[in-house]
Amino acid sequence: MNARLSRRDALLRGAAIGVLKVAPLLGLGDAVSALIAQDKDPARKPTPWNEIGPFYKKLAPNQAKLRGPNDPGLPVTIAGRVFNTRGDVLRGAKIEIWQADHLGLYDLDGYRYRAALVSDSEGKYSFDSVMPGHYPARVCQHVHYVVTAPGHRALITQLYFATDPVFEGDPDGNYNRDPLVLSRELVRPVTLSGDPKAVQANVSFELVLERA
Amino acid sequence: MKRGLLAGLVIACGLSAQVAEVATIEVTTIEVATIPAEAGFVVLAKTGRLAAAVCRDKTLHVWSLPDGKAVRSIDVGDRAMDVVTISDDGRWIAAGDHRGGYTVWDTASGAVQMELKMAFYPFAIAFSTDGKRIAIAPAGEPVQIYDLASRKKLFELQRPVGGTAAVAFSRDGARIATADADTEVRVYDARTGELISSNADFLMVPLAAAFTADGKHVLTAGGDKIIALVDAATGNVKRRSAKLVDPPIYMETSPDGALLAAGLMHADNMLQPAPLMISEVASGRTVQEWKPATMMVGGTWTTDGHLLVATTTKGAIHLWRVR
Ligand SMILES: [Fe+2]
Repeated sequence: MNARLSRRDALLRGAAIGVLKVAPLLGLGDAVSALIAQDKDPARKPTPWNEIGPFYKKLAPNQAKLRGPNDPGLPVTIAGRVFNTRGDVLRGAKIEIWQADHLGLYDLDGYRYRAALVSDSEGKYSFDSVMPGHYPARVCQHVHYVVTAPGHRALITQLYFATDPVFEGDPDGNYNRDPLVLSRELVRPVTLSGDPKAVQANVSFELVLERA
Repeated sequence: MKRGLLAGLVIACGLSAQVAEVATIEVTTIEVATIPAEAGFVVLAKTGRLAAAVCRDKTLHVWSLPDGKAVRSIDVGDRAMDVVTISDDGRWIAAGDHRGGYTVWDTASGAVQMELKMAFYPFAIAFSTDGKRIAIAPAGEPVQIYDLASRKKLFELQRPVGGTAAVAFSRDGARIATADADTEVRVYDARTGELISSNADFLMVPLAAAFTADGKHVLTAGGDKIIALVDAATGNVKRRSAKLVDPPIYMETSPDGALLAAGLMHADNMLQPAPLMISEVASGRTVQEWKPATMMVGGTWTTDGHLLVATTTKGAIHLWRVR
């Protein structure tokens, strides 16, 4: 197994202990990226597959602000970079995301909490949303992803949150309480920032595609 | 579970406010009080003679109908079954588990006819009408077509992004329709696996598909909440229904080809019941709508023209003759 990967995993596991953390000066995602950037071996493990679910909707708008000014729920910013398994930055990758609102309801009739983003010149993407709610018949809070880039296999996955009460503070031990969470790596640490009266959650989620 | 402890009974039920659209419903209740846990879904043979379910006692139970007598129980061990299906004649039961293990059993003997290991658990499994072939849609993967007698893989279909949510054979076995997670509906030649047509009109994932009796059209629907009648040869939509209250997840045409049954999924709470709609295939007109008191967990048109629907409560499977 790639030593760099185990190091990154160890760092993220460490960050997940206690689960909720106040953001350090450098965001966790940036810290991880900085460590990775120092590494000589650029190879990356592909982001694990996770099923698409029944509510994918095509032709979503390119909008990074999914949260309206009066939307209830915990504000969350999700950001990351898109790479391939060789470590090449993927610019112009299409990142389709969709999620339930804070009550766990999907918008089937419109495009609320749905977007099709494009990674920038550094492979970065980000969007502002609310922490998705739990919904019946599904155990964990999650955000769905379909990521496509020319010359690469489409990545279908889901992002989970280490703060999800379902994990009871122990995502390592409890991630598979949701039978659809097949990989611990998809459960990401959550950091809090901002004024105590206006708390904001931040999550880093790197996406690694396999070449076609 | 002990065999012989299941009692079957038929209760003739009158109208209630909840089922006002239905003229008369006969309710067959299969009592499963001796099973310590519930069944997630129930499969019904088109003969109307067999029902089967994997219950949480880790056993595949097979009952004869309408008496509800246990005819077979097969230990499935620690396998969490995601999809179970039964051939039209009730001869075969196929199931796929969450670790990608697939088994086809002969219901008469309980013997294993075929065992497969795939990368992922199933989204859908369907037998051909003659029960000779099986189509398996592993999550996110291309649909695989197998010959049951030889246990050989015949071919696989295309690889749509996200996989295939539903698969169906035409009655003559000549065509296969897939409702795909990339939102397209595709029709293939069932002998060669070649793509015949595709339709990309849906914005959301189609979740159910059924051929018309002559195999010339596919009735399909999903998150768009619209039932589309698609020309199987060209992929063109010939007719769209008015918007439904929820997405259909089960669709099947009646033996005479005149009616379509569409079972909906309550999208805001998938554990809540949603209506079952019956419409005329020729006109698209809704002729019957019925909302069960609990979620529909199985259903089929029987060869004698009835529509059976299964629901469950703790310790019991209920069969409803809706038409
Ligand atoms: Fe979901």
